[in-house]
Amino acid sequence: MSTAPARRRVVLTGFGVISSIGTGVEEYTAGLRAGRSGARPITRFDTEGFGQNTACEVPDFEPGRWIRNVPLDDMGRAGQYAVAAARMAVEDAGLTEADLGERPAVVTVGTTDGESHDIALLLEQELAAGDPEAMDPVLSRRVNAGRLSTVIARELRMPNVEATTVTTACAAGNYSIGYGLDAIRTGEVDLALCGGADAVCRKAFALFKRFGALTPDVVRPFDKDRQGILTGEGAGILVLESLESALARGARIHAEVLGYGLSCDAAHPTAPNRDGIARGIRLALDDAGVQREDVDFISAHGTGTKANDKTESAAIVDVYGDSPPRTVAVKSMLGHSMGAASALGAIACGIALEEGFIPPTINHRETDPDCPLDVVPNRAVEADVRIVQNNSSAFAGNNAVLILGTYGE
Amino acid sequence: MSTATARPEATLPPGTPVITGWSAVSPYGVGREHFAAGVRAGAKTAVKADAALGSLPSSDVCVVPGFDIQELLGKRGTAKMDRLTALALVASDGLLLDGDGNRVVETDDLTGVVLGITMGSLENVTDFLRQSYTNERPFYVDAGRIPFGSLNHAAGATAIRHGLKGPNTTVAGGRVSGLLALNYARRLMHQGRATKYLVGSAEEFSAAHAWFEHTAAAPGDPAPLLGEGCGLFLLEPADTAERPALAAVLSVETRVDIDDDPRAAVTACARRALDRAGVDAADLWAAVPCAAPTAAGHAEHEALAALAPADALSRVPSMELLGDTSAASASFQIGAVLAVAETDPGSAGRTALVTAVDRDGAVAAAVLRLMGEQR
Repeated sequence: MSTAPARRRVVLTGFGVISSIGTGVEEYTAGLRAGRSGARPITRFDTEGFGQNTACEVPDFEPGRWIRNVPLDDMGRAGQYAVAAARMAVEDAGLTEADLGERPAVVTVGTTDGESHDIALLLEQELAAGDPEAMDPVLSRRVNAGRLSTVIARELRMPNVEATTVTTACAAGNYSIGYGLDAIRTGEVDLALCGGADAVCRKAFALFKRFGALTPDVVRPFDKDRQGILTGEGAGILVLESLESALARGARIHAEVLGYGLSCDAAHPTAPNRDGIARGIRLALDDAGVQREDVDFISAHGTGTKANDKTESAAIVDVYGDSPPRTVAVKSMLGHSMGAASALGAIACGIALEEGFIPPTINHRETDPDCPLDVVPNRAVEADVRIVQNNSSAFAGNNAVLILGTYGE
Repeated sequence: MSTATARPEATLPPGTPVITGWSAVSPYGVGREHFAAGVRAGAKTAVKADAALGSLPSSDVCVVPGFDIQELLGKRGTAKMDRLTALALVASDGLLLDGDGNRVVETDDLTGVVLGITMGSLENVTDFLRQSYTNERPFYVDAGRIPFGSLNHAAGATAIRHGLKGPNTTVAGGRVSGLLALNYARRLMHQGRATKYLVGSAEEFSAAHAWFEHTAAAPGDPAPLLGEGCGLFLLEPADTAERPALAAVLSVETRVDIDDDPRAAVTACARRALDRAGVDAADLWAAVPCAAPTAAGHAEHEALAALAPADALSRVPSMELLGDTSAASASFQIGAVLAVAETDPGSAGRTALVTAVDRDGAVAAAVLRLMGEQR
């Protein structure tokens, strides 16, 4: 195996958040602390015939507040979320367009469905006209997932970047952050804008409904009466920076990226896999050089489905033994924001490290005996948080686990 | 080999990623040999579309001939498989197995997979949505096809088929995605996350894909001639490679065209890739653009023509022969370089530049050193 040179430390200096429980770090923090729910009636598409119409949509999104250089029509809803969150993240990091410019960087956005909402609109146009020629070119030009990353580069006027969209579904946010970490560790770049974006769409709603994985009620991760997910949306973009770069410009440091792990189950296309998740966690802890007993809490993948929560709990117990760290599911608040989920989870972890609290698992009544975890039910707790683990898993057997810590040691 | 110089491996920095195997499923046919022979002959691949493909914006297509999923992969688990996944799986068999189906490449728990795509199987997602819109209830959709609609399914299915438990990633970037995948694998191997990688990219042809591309084309442009396929490579660090290196990946550079000036973006990106590789453009043995049938594709060609010697630019027949293979294209370009090099002993130790431009603004360039191995 190739030997990596002495590793560079990588820190988080900017957060950008578009979420169903709050836009911007301040509102998102307030939402996490209060245990806010993002669930509301779906407005994005016609839900007639589904028998239910709840998702965690982002209310009152104003793209023009954040997107100034690229015409809004050049991107779909997911792209607008990604760009808005990226703009917010660089502003939070105190980076101006002049600071960015020709600077080499990685821009990597994770997604599950990309602009699948636009694909549905195109199909509606075809079906209405009975002719695919009726599809609107404005939409068909913008449906490819690669655009989620390149459009950020165009908006922020950053030509000298690697724009890689990671489409490893519901683990894509952590994958992206990990890629940014590796790019900075190699010394090839000092800066990376990483995260995830997805938009509520008919595809995801129909898919999870068909699988019987859509809750008719609320999302209750790790509860004995949990019934599934709500689909959600939003974007989380994080500014990753080499420690030298952050210190040199006197940036505020939210947290340090200590490491991550990727594992592939190589077993089943949709079922979660206990061994695969446990291996991902162990790889992440090893990469971070962190001992199990030093992890203060886990932000779980925690979707609220029967299968995920039971399997993930077992994997956590496999790694941590009978007294694992407190384990919370922010999806109880945000729903499953797909490719954005683990990016929003990572930002929640960063906020927890900075603000000293653990966000709650809301809607919780009775913990499932198959999930023997302290899920911080319903109310955030104040805590001295120093090291946090952020889990994610995806269909196709992909697991990505991220470890963040307070910066300072 | 006619050269008397030391083996080119000797000059590579440790850890340099090297390509030690490759396979292709392409409009030239299933397998590396068909691809190599077709490329070297400069053969056209366009055919009249099969009526089974349904209504299409253009009657000519460049599809993989005789690509029968169940015949190639067996009946188990393939009845509802999307074409994209099947292309990737057949290519992975070609990379890891011999003609009798025996494994010839060792793998371990740190063997990774990274696959470049555009938007997955558009046929799968549009069929799914069509069912949702037209069936009695909007969720009366074919559950058996759902797993294949995940954008990461082809990479995950490759891992399942061959038991590959290392980092498994899908990157989207259209024509540049093959080079994004290569860079991804390079970085993760450098960090010790993988001991070796299956890296490549894939695109499927379908009526849905054709109509999307047709409506997205610039006004007045004809419907693009579309191709499909999958190119896959085995990538290992030079110092631990278990098989002879066919080519070394000296650099991969990327850029985004933010000013709608693809020629300038390709030029800047290719120059940086050459600089990073320590290669003088005048010394290039081959320069291979993606040859996209767009203004950006023409600009890319002009950029390379201004940069590279004429014989380098004509070394490998144009990728136009395969149609616009979108996500598959960059991997096919690398495969084409290897195909031409393997019958040209004069290529040993020489270098090749591969570039790509995508509609979404991404630009990428890679520089390879050919190692003179005749596989």
